[in-house]
Amino acid sequence: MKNRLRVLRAEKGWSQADLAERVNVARQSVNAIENGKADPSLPLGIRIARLFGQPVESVFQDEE
Amino acid sequence: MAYSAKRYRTVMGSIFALAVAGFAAIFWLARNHADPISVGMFRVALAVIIIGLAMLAVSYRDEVQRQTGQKRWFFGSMIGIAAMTPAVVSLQTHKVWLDTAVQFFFHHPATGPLYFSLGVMTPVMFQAASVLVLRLLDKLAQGPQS
Repeated sequence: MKNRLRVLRAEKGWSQADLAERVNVARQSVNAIENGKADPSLPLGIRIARLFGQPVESVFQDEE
Repeated sequence: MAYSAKRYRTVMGSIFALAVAGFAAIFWLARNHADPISVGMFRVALAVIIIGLAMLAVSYRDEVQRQTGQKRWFFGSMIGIAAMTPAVVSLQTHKVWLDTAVQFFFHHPATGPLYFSLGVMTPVMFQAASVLVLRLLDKLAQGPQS
């Protein structure tokens, strides 16, 4: 799954650790999601999208 | 339970300390010819406590860490068993080497119960070693951090 986490984070000026703290996951988990090595669950995806004030589908996109 | 890196580290530290103290106690009891049934019960109790704490530790991980850990244990177990097979087949055909190696490492004649324990421990050790290798590879292949 592709995502725009890095861009959205940069817009807010947040580091991976800042985002991780805000959604209550490990910094390594944010890194894994950002680099497409792990897919977040729906609740975590929604939490992340809400944090950026965006709909889920604009943060995470299917690769197809 | 919710993710907590601090609690996870505390529980893992307790597991490590308990395992070291427990193994030292088992070694000491065995050296001092303690009653084998009591030593066995102590080992079971220690294993139950460590497994309980390990399950508690997992509950403090976040969903991505759990997902990654599960995948790593699945593939690590498969790789561990695959890596162990040639060694097992080779030792079956060269049993003299096995007897010599067991006597060398355990300073103890190779007996049925000892082989049974080794038979149980060997796949677990191979699997755990493979998981550690996969973990190391994951660390090395981590994407850019910022």
